[in-house]
Amino acid sequence: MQLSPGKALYSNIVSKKKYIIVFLIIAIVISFIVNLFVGSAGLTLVETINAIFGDSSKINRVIVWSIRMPVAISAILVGAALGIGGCEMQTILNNPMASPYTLGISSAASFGAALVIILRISISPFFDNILISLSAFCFSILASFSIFTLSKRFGWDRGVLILFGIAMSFLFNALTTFLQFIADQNDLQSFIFWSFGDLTKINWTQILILFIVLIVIYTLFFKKSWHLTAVTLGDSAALSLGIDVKKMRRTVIIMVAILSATSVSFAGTIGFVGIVAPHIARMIGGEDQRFLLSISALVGALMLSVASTFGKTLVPGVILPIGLVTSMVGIPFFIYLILQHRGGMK
Amino acid sequence: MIRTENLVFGYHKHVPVLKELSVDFDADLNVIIGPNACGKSTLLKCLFGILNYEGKVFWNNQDLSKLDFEEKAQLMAYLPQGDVENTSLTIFETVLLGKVASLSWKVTDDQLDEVYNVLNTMNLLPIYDKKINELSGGQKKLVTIAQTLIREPELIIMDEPTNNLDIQKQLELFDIIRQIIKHKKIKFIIVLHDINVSTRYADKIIVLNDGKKYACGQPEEIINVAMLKDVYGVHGKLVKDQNDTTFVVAESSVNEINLFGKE
Repeated sequence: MQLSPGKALYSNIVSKKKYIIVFLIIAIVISFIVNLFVGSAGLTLVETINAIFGDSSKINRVIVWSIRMPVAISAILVGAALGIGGCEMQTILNNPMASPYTLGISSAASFGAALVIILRISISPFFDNILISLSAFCFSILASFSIFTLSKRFGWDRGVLILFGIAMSFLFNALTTFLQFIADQNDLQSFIFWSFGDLTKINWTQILILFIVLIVIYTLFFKKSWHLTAVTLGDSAALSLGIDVKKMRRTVIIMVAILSATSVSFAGTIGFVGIVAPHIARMIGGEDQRFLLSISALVGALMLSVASTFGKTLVPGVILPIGLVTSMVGIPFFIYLILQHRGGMK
Repeated sequence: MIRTENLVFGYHKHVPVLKELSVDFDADLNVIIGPNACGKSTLLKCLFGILNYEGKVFWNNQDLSKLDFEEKAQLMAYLPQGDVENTSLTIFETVLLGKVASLSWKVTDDQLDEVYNVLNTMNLLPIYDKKINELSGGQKKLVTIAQTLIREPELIIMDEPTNNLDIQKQLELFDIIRQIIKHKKIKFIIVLHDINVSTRYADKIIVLNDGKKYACGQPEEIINVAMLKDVYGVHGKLVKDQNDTTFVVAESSVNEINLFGKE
């Protein structure tokens, strides 16, 4: 069938992006299976597959379903959440260095957790972990809400938003340092373990909550994908297209705050995925948000899924916290990106 | 079409940029001229409602301040002075964004063909898949104009669209605008610095000076030696070409410039 001239040109631009999405989904599925297979119990691939489908010994089923599966799934969900959060923060702030944590969310979450752990706030030992996550979540939302209220007074200026985010991070870091200063050794150790960024502590209920939040926020962003694409042209260009940029910024901040606060309160701070995943997504898939949003989520999911496997294999017998792995791989990659970005300038 | 009534606006309290400005933009191609910082761009921003002004802006007797951005964008397109920001969107995608109000997940063939036609008109087809961040300032301007044209609003407001364009592209742009007015019945309000391009193409010229309307009317009524001196502070003369179009030759500034003392 003969394509219309406009359609022919447009197909050249978008067809590649569809293949990228399919390729990423396949890569994630493979990485997910590898993640389930790799571990200190030494299960073979066949044993792993049998355990997934229930045709195996009880111990193998427990290893796969209770230990490995939650980590493997949460790697994908948290990675996707960071990818989406980073992508939209970079879009609305038009700043390549923005991330889901730009609004001080990770520092606030750390403070929230530190408060419960170090001050030993407890209802019953059974609820301790829930209380830590809840406190981390509440403080993340509080930090975003403060920035939200302050930015309103300055007309949602991008620069002001970023500056308030930095100020908020410093404030909560200082408060956390104070708590660490007065903490005893055991509490300090528990807090440090919390703050590493770790997927092994996530349970099925948390996975379900994160999944629902992720799907709802992804859908809301997806519905606005043309408007979000237009925002990348700059405030006045978007305004002239009839887009209320301030309102857009406000909505995106609320949604990213909820998404990132959920992920950070369950998994702790996982660095660099939120910055790097959207960059890779942009490089391979362009700026059209109908594709960029999905590609950012998929790249984030793939990165964290691979990092989770590496965390289990780098040091035999030890599961390294995933935040450590992403930062160690992320920093050299980040420097490479900056060099690439500035490559044209001498 | 669009008119202002006693429009007052200042970026700082007690320092008005626009001073009780009442202008009727009733021609097909309205051009606003005036010296730097006289309020030309500010006036355009008020017309599109980006700034919170005092006074009224009417669209066919309807108060424009009652409409939201989306509704205003249906009626008119505003092309700001600066370039679009650096993005890795392609030219095709950027022009397609002009249709943002009616786009859904699946772009229709008609919408894509409209983009094709506009790119063809603007001679942008050979570089349709180039990214915005790879373009020159002039090319970016053409892309934004193409994006504005695809929207087919009733009015297009442009702030110094000829910036960064060479002479040939400037003339081509105005030829395109003339054809759009003729075939699509779209009206234009354009801020320009070049008086000669204004007199050649404008149906109506509005001269602003210090936030007030100095004069308003057809080019031949407006452009004269006294205006050059009062508004721009230059001594000059007028010449006419074979088509009876008036051109300005500016000869010297009213102010004496003595950077290194009197010679």
